[in-house]
Amino acid sequence: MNTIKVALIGNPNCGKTTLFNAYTGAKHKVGNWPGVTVEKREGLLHHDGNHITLVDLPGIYSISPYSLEEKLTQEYILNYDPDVIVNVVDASNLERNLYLTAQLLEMGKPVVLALTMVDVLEARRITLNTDKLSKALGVDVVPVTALRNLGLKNLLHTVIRRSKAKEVQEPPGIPYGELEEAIAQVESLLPVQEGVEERFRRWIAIKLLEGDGSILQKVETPELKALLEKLAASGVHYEEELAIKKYGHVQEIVPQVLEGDEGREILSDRIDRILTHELLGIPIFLAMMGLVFVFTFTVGNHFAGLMEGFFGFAGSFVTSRFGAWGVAEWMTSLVVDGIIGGVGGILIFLPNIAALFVAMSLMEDSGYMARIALIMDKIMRRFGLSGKAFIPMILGFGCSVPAIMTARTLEDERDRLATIMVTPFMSCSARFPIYVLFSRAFFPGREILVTLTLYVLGILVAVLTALLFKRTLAKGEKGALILELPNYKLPSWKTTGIFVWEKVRGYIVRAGTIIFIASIFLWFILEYNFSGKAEMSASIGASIGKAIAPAFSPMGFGTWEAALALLAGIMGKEIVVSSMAVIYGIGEGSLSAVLSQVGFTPASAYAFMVFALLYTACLATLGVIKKETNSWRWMFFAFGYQLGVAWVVSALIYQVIGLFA
Amino acid sequence: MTLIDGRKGDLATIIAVHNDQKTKKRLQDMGITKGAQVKVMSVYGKNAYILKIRGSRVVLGADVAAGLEVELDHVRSKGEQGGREFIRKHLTAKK
Repeated sequence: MNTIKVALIGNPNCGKTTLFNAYTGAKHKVGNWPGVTVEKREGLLHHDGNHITLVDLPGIYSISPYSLEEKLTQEYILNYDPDVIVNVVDASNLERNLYLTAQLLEMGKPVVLALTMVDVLEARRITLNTDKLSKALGVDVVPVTALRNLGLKNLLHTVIRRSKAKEVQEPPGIPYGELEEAIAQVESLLPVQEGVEERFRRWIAIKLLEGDGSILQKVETPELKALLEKLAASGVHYEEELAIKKYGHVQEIVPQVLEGDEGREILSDRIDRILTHELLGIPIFLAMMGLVFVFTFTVGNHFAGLMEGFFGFAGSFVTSRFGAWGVAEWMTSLVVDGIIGGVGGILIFLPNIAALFVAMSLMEDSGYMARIALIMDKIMRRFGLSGKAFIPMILGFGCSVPAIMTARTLEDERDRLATIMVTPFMSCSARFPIYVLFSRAFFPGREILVTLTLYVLGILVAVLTALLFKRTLAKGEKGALILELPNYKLPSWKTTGIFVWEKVRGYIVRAGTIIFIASIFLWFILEYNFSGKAEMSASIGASIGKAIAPAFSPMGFGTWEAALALLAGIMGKEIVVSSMAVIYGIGEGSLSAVLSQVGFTPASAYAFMVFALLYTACLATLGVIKKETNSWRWMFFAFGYQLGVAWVVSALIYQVIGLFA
Repeated sequence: MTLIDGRKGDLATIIAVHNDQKTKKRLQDMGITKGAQVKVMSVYGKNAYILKIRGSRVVLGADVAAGLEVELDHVRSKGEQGGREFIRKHLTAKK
């Protein structure tokens, strides 16, 4: 049985991912496109005896060789040759969405239009005539409402039918008027070779006039090059004119298919009057962040308490069972101190982390995230960055790795570099366990306040770093702010659920793999030295810790235990906590209670949290910095810079507290 | 005039785009091309222009707006901004 390859293509925020999720649920593969760190989502469907591979391509506004996402989409269509392209079109934003459609149709591949947000349109008392739209574009148009499962089957039927249709779909081309002559000239000079079949020639000619270098490479001949140079020198800006014609074509279609008063003020505009109000915008934003913070803390902690109880119980249960079964003492120690202590020490924070990602997902899905970029633009500009740089920074509260990838949306290379460098200072969810642990032990009753100061400190260091960077290494113009404000929408539970589940699953997998192995390894180096089993203070681990501990004495925590935990934390910041759990051996009882007995004071505990916040990002983050900057130098620079900043700030804070205490 | 002189409520047609090639392309993607009509929804903090263009809402920074040459489609009336408009829309009788 053959498989139908279907690609989902559409504008950002057009409901593409919601549609993809509606078909595949949480059962899809998330990977990367080869060679680039753009996420690739793929799902397998079965319908009426057909196998369909559904690929979710990144959201794009047009097909051109400018951004990574656009390049990827163009190459996917050309090289992977999907059987059907499902172009997801936001009906409430028809004109702009059809600009991409016009470009897709020109490519000469079978296209089916999936029309989303029809209900939004209906709420505005506007009707869309799908038959007319279908006729005008020359393709099938299927309205879908993914959240209520409307039209999903119909879309699949249409896709399958289209994939099996013998005749080649011939959508009416866009009339380019006075540009036709130039198109014909270029077309006539195209070589006859593979990939330049009759039905692609016009598209290739248009692409060449638009100045697409990657296409030119494939078909270049001296005559063709000469012609393109001549045309470019003629004073006509072909790229601009072609785009105008495409919009002109779309502009003719839209009034034919829409009926109703489009001039009415829509709900999103009304919401924006308040949320992006010049005076209220920032206070509302701060209040929302506060809410996210409290939500993460309180809701998370409620469940975290239950999990803590469970792992405490598991520890003592295993100890007593193993004791009764006569299991060797070292084995009990490995399981209880190493595995349950280390892995469990991390898993208890799962509810907090899930709560944080719920909040993040809601902000993004509702459309508020784009407004944050607008609201923060003025402030960010003082630090030399555009407001858009704030989106990766906010996402950095979740995890630096995807956040750094998001920095790609920044147009300016230097802005992007600066953003990549500052994002790791945003306090990610992996650092959260450290704060909870220490603030519970040393600042009982004021945990939320203490943790809040760390989040603020992270932001502060981040923006100061941005300022420093834009003044020195990444000097340059402030990046241009061009940003779409999508319509507000009610977040869907399915989208949120899938998003959060992906993160939670990732966290569990990390706990089961990296943290599991790290815990066992740590247990081992703490139980043994080169001459065999040893006291912990004479173990290999202790020797390593002792070697680097003096570096931490200006911060008040120059103990080998702290040093070793921080060193292990480079693998992942949660490992600081799991390591301490292994080091101080708390299969049962609370780690918080132990900490004050091992030399930490409130001042040094705070300095420790500051250091843990700022110091070298985890290996995964360093990896993504390397990939995104495509440079080892920047990666090592980030490593050293963060370590230096952490050391200075942490020591400073400890010493200053010492002066006053 | 350029869009930087635009005020809340203005309706204007773009007559030329003077931005650099890369910015121009990004503007095209957003529907901002020569001949298109834009409405200035509001100006945030004097440096970000919230526009309605081809049915979608787009924010442009002041430096980008400065490159867009526009022509007003109407004569500005003095009171048609800010407070007055808000009061008219929200405090007068609802349908």
